Amino acid sequence: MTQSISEKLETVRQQALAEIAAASAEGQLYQLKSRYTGKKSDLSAVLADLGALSIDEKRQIGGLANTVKTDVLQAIEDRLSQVVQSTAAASFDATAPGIPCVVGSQHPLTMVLDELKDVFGKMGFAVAEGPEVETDYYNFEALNTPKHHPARDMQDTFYVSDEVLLRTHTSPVQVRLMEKQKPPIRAIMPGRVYRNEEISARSYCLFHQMEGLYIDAHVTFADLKGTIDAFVRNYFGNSVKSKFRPSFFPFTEPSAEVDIQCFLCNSKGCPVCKRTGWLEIMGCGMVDPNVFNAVGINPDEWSGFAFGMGIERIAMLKYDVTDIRLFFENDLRFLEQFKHV
Amino acid sequence: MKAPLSWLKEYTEVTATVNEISEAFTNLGLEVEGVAGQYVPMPGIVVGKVLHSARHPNAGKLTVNKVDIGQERPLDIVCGAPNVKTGLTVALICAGNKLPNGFEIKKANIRGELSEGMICSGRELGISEDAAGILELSDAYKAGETITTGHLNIDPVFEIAVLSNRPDCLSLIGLARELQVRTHSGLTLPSAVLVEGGDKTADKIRVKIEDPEDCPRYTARHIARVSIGPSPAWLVNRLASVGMRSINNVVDVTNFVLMETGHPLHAFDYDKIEGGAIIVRRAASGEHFTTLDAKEHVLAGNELLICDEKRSVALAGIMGGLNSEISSATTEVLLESAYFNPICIRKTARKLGISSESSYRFERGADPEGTVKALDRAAALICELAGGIVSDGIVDENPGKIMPVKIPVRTSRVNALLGTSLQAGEIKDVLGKIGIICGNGQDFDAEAPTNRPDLTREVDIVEEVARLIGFNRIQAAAHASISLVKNENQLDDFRSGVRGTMKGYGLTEVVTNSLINPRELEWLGASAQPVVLLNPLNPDMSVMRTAMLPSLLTVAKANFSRNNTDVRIFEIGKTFESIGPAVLPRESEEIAILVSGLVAGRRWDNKSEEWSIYHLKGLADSFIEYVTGKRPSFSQVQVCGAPGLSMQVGQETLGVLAPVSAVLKKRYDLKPDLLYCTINFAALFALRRQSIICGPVSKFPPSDRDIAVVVDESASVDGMAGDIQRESSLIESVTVFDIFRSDELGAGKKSIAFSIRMRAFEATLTDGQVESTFQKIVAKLKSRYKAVLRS
Repeated sequence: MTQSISEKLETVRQQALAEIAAASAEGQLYQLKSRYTGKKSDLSAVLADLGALSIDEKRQIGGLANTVKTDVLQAIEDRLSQVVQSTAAASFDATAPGIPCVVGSQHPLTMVLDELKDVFGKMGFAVAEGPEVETDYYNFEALNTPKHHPARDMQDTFYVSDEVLLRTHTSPVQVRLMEKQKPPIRAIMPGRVYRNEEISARSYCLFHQMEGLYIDAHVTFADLKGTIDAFVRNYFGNSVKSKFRPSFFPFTEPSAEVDIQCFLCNSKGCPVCKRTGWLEIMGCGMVDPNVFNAVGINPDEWSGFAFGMGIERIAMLKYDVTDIRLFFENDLRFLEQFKHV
Repeated sequence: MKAPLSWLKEYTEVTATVNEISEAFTNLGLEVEGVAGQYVPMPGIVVGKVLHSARHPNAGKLTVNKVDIGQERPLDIVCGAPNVKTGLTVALICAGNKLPNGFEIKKANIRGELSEGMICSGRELGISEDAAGILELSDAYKAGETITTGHLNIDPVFEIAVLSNRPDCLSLIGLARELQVRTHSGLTLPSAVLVEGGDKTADKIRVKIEDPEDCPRYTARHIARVSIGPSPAWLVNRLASVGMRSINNVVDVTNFVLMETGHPLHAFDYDKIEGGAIIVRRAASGEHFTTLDAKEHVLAGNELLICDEKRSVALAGIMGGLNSEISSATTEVLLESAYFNPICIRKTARKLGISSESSYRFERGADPEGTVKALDRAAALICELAGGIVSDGIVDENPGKIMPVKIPVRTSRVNALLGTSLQAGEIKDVLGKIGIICGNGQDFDAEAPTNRPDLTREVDIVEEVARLIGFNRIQAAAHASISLVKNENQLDDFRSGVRGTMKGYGLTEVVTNSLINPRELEWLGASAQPVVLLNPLNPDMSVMRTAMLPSLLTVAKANFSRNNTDVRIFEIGKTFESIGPAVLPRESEEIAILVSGLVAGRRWDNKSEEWSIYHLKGLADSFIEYVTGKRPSFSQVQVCGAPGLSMQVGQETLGVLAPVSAVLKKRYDLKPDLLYCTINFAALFALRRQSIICGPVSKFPPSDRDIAVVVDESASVDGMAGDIQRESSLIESVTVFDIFRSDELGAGKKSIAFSIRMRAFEATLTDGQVESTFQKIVAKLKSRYKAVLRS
């Protein structure tokens, strides 16, 4: 009796496992599950029919039947996950685009500014800031440029009143800094400046500058040259040479313009460097004693240098931007080109 | 300032090349911005001799020519120029070579005749605009020589940027004086050979200076029996080479001497000067004066005038009067050479909007000691060219005599400032080359000539030394000493950090103009007083913004017009509020965000999301919490005519966020919906998390419970979430996961579902703890919000 029941169970098992292995759809497997383990299944019938058996036999056959049921259920589960997986694999289109994930970008002008701050920061320059709307005193007078000085022609100024104006350079921050802080001072002063100039590809009514100031005992013109040379090699490339030529700014004496070798053409001469092989990148000089006097620093005790450069100018050179207005139009197609790490 | 090489050579015999001269000027601080009339030798462009020229058999305007270029066989050249003829020496480009403009000349068959090159015009060689005919060269040149500047007989003209502190270089002599420092070619000044005779000048001219401060010196001469006529070719050419027009011999001489010496002169028709009297005085208010360009000016008073006994005859140092100018009928000349106060001239020139060669120099500072030299030079030239007789003697009123300045100079100071180790001798040597006379010793007096008003202090002499020895001689310091100063600018570091975070939110940084049109502020209904410019470029940039929104809307508009529809931008920018006419405005920095279109681009699974106020609120919430470590609270406010939110952390209001109102959209002609947010930068900076103290995290599992309640529409979801959070320290987080309204709930009701995570630090929560916490929450929501629990 038990013999035939156990044989029958074994047959059910074999048959179920074979059919499960052959099934290829989820629905089929659920049908098989119901057929082999449901209330009307052969297994249920066997288990329902144990009444005539001894306790030992009941235990033996019951155990066997449960094992078969567990095996069958396990096989269905395994096969189900296989089938589900292959169905999913069939619906995964490896060529469909991913769900978009957006990232913004930094404006080229603040990017250049960050880079400059980084280079000068490593040389021990701190960042100082000041107002964009300034008094005539800070913008001109304290910088050795009295009223009716022809040097005022160099900078067309927006006025708010006789004494209040939009700063034409970041140099007034120097004055404010020197009033607040006694030497030694080593700072860079980035910021926005304004010029009343017709807007064109080469000039805008505002732009950004970064001024630098170093005041200490025994600062020399040779130190200025060394500092600028180190900056140029750090920022534009170790092999890029710089040269100084005399210039004039009311607030520095001696004053110089700095030219660097044109990195666009390897100083062979190109339209950007006007075929000279050199690019003008900044003005600089030794702080004029009149500026020291204006802020109450003794020029016999302290000396220092200042330099200033245009951020737009550097960004235009660096990224080959030929029209300054692009920086302020903010066309996203322009800006998104500056995505980078 | 234009400086033709041939003219410079009158005063210094330079043999250096054009490039060497350019470099010398530039390294002296006189930047050469360009050189006109330059020709760089090109291969295949050579001297040719036209052996035979004949009419082209098939074209009336062309000729066929045999041109010898020094080779066995002459070239066949077809030419269209009217002036080609047998025997002419020409510049020729052989086929297969390029012109300076890059155009390649090829062998060609022109109407049946072979042409193996081209005979060049000035324009083709890039040396002039003249394309009317071919260049005719000196017969002295040999066929086949490569064409150089010398062959072309062109005069290079240096275009020099003279900075405002160097009036002495606004003259050919001044530039030559500088140049010879580098070229060692010496300086030869023109000598005025003056034969005086006839009348005594003192009998002809009386000068009275009423304002010696503005006119420290006035010198004059009288020249009789001049005949006004055209100038000789050399003078016309000289003036043309610096861009001046020839007028007549007398006026041309004054202009020539102006360019040569830098000292402005004026020639009056003596017969028009009443009583031979020159009175230098201030103008009266309301006085009229007509300058020789026939413009009438109404004077405000304080302008300096040159007058005779009855009327004004010149605007001192700026322009002469129409009433006394030299005409063809003039027979006697009063020649003026004066020195005027720079500030006085500058004020008047600015006020009247006149900038003349004369005013340009006087306002920068002419040479008070150069007056007589220029006067004599001009008088001699007038005699030579207009045949006059110079009266005997000179009138020289010099009530405010300006003496050369003696400047004490310390050799040690020169070296300390420059970082050099120059000897006193070398310093004096270079200074001497430009006429600075130095005394003896290590510390000495340097006497700056009166043509250098910029030299008054020791540091000015230091600069001269650096300039004259050349900046290249100063070795860059290889090591810098660093004084260690703690001077961090955390604000600026914070700004960079905010930029990076914004970028991470997918926002693109913009930099916008802070000048806007005042009507944009009216549109916003902004109450802050803007800073108004007195002299704006145009109305669109005439006030400074008091809010960031106009700038960002302008960016959005520009992008929409270019079909950039998804706008996600931010700017950290300044706004300006006027707080009174005499004080500086209040400048504050804002982080401003503007978004429109899709949050994260178009998706292919129909789940693309458009920006809603909830998206922006979520962004602001997340950002502020990221920066400050605290969740902001939001309260509803009207923002520029639209329902928006203000954001607070503690007592501090950080900013607002809102959709752009329909009215505002219409003003800017914007179609798509936009949302913006501004956060006060300084307030955020003050609230920033400055230090992070890290605590342990619980090792025990959380218990999650959901609760759904029906409340009145007016109940605050944020408020409920906050109240739940505060109900027990066991509550780790509260998340709103469903909000809905339905007919079933009834009008004015909404259903809110919260997911609440509870966790204890020291043990797994018991069912009892979870249940009692949950009941407390239910009780709180019931009592405070009249919430009804949904099953």
